[in-house]
Amino acid sequence: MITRRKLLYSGAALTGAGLFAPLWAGVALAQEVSSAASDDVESFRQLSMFLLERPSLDAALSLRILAQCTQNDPEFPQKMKALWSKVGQHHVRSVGQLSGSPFYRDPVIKDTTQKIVSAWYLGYTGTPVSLRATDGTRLVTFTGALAYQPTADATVIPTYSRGKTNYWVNPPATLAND
Amino acid sequence: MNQDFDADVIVVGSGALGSNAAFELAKLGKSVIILEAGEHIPRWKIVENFRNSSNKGNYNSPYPNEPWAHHSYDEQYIENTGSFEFRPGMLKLVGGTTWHWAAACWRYLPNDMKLKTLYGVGRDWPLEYSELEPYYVRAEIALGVCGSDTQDQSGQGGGAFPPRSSPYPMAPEGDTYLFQRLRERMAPAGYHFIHEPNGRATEPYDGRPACSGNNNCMPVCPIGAMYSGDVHARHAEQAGAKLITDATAYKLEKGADDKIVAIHYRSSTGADVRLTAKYFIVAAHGLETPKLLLISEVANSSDQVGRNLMDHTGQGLQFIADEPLWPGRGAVQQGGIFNRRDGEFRKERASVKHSISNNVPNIAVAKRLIAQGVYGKELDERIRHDAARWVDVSTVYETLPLQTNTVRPSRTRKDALGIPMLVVNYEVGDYVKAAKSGVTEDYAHFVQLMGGTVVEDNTGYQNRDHLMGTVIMGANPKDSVVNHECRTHDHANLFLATTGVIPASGTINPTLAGVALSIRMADIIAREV
Repeated sequence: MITRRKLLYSGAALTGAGLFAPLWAGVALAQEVSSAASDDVESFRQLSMFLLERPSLDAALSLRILAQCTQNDPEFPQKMKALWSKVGQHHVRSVGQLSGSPFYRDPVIKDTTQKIVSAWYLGYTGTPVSLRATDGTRLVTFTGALAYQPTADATVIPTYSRGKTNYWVNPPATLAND
Repeated sequence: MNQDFDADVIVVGSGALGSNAAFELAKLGKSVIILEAGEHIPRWKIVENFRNSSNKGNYNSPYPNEPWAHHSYDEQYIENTGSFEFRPGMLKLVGGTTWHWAAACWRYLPNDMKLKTLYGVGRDWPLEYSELEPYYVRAEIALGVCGSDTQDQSGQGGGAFPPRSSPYPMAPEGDTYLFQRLRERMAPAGYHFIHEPNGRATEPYDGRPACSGNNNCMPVCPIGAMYSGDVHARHAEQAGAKLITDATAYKLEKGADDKIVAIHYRSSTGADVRLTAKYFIVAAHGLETPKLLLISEVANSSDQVGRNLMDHTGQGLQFIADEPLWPGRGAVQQGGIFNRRDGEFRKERASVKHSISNNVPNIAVAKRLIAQGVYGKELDERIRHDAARWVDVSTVYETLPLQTNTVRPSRTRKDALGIPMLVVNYEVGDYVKAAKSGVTEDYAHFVQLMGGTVVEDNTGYQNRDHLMGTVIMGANPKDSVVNHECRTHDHANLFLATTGVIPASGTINPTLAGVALSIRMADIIAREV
């Protein structure tokens, strides 16, 4: 169990903007990652950036995904760290190389990879069940779900229109290059 | 106002149908009470619930699910005994389930209403299209429908059809680029693309803003450009109707002369209340309405209450086209292909409607790619590529009323008020199955015409949430529950405002017909009260 002070520190380290983070955000994070160890937090951040091929990621979301995945599967931190150390051991330089590597055939490695990438892109953890009131899913983020970013100039995040009536009769300006 | 009754008319249910009937009656000076099992929830809260939902594909998830007022996806609400899991997405709150529809406002065709006479299958409606037509006009005005006055909505490529006595209240929205391109490439092969008349404002209308393409008609329009039943619940209240929420009707009380004399409701606070009225309208949707009649032991001399349950059986196709079409700009659907809407083939098999969905597809696209092991920068590139080319076709089949497709009150499961929940027995009929090969053929042709790569072309049969048949309308009291007025054959002062009265399903979303019938019944009741 890590302390709130450590947590605030790790949050600040992640964002590089911790000084400006409001205190309540730290409290909320403390609640979310009460079961996560600080080295897990750092490993998860590194692994996520590797899998997503992004130089930076939202620190609060990173903690949230780690916490939710850990709550869904207490062995998730071990699995995640095992994946990260495999990447290091085998000198895997890119996620493309990872999915082509022999150890990616290990279902645990593949499942862990997909869980992490899914949470970042889809904005939830767990598996949706249709036609039921409840399922095991938990929200990570709506507007921060990375799946919306590649088309942000062309389509809306539902409920957040940026156009006016009939803007849709024209294709996006980028059409010729799409 | 009559002092001997609590109201002239009591309406059970504040959805689009009940609220429109209540408004028409209140407007004419009748005293009206509306009973609603759920609560009033403001739009902004539903929008926030949606944004915070972890399962956004579940259209019930932003809505309340209380132990005394379940939404239909609650695990306890419907027990299925048939092979098909019949589970439409129904809501309990002020305004009802039109909070999450896509506002399709089609009219039935004259032929849809004469299915038995023309094609020898199913049943006829006990009224002609021409009798319903003036009420369609009023329903379109009430719901603020925009539509094309020139298209052949029967899908045969002819002139304007079905006949209209008045133009649509609003001009249709502009065609999406997606729709334009699909039409340009598929129409030469003989597919008639029809604009879907819909209850989304294209100019400010009845306090609603014009649609700005938030692309979230289901599960909630964030700005209220799309019609939902809360509009007329509010209008009814403003016209003097009394709306009582947290009030679940559980008994219609019969008097000595076969008239209904009172209704009993229960609230989550434990209160049991008996209210009297001259007339009663049950507008509790196509599953709850027959349940209330059955547990009250009324209106069922025909033994048809709860039978003939129909939905438009659904199926879907997703593929990736060979050019960017950019779905997701505008409302979530705009129309489709109606070539199989009517014809002699209906003697043997169901008519079919293909609708083109226009949802922002990114989550579905990303999910598929991740499952394929696409990660990193390639994932972003592929999301943009595939999302721009994603085509989603939603198909419905006409269904026939079958005695064995039923909804019944449960004998074992009760809600927190002690009121029975539902048991459904549903099988997809042979009439639907006979039409499947035509759909398969169409799907293959669509994919070929658009140079597509199939994502999914065999979804199995799906729910479409269009409840019909369960309190079936007919001329003969021996084999139907209500007459052409929606008046129960057994009780002269009991009317049913639900699409559950519809005896021949056609392929079109039945809400507009339900509202037209509700306005018509209000006129009839107003003359008698």
